[in-house]
Amino acid sequence: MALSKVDLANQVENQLPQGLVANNLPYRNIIINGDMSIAQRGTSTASVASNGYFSCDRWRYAENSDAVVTISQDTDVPSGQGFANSFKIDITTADASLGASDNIILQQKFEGQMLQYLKKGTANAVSLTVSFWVKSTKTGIYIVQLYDRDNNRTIAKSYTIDVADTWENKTITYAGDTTGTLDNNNEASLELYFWLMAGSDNTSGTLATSWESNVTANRAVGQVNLADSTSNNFWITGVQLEAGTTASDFEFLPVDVNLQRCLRYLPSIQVKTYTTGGICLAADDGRIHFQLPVRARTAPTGISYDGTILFMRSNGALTGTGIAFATATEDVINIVDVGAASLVAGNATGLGTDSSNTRTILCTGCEL
Amino acid sequence: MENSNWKLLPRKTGQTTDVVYRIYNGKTESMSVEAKEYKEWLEKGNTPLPADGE
Repeated sequence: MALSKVDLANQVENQLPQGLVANNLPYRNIIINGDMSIAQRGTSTASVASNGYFSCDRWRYAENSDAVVTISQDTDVPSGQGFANSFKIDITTADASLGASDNIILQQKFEGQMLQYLKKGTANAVSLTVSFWVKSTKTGIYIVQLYDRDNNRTIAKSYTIDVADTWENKTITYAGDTTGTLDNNNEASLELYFWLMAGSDNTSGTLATSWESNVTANRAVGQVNLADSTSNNFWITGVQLEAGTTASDFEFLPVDVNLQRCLRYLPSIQVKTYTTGGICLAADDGRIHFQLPVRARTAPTGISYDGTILFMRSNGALTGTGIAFATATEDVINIVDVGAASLVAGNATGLGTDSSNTRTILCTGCEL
Repeated sequence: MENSNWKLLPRKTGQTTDVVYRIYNGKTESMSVEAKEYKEWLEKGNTPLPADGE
């Protein structure tokens, strides 16, 4: 039987009877790791005062302020909703006096090639709906912005934290944008921003509640300052961004599928003593390559690991001071020794770890 | 020993791009000098330590 192409957006917007929720369309959630269950970088990072990816996969913390935070994968979740984890931001150094350019944003970026079915930039552009569970010590107005990086366009809407330190479910719908097509490639095209702090540069205009050319002053009008006290915490989970004007039930993916989706942006390789398959090119030149677990978004440009990983001599003894990135493609990565000696050219080699612990090599440079 | 500064590694046979290395915040990290993160670090006025033997 021939397979036919599924028009996900039309199924959501046009084919379902009004008022019904399309709760069984697979992969309808544009967000990856919306349930915060995958945290390959670790469950907690303290003293965060710069941009980057910390804790839960795919979620980028961006800040320009004096605030310092601890970011963690937390177990505080809305009761009875099926979630096991949330993303937590704990303000450890406050910034109560906002500078004009100050801001804190939690964001996720999406490849344009993943979003062609949104038909953005055409007369058939579909609406998008974001839904999430949120809890914050700081009540008041918060902004959620969609940013089209390819065309420098923005739409932003607000929600309100009504009760301090209480889980609340929020839904926001954005109209489709008939201007500006998304590039059909593996680069960041669309980005979702959860604003947590915004100085006057981002708040002095009129909130861009309809798609418009990006104006900085219109991006976060009304946003409260989460970082005005070290008593403040912010949790979020169950984030879903989907085509259509209605929020469906959160799409829980099997853990292995969720991990596979994250690995495209942060490939990881587990090693243990006697992980073999390498070759010695010289006494001080060991090489080993690994097939990446899924095709990465782009070729890794580095590696990172905790603990000790060293090359092995043919007698099983470890040598050198570490391992390092050499080269990579989207499918394989080559790793070299650092400081190894007494390897024998032509012999097989492998990797060993401290106390035979299982260690994980994170392949960096693939995130958006 | 931990050092936030990146250090160039000696090139291995066949390597055409330099790689930098550091142990920082308990993690051992290395990356190509073509990596976006490394380029941003250079743009802040930083310079890597030379490779051993250079």
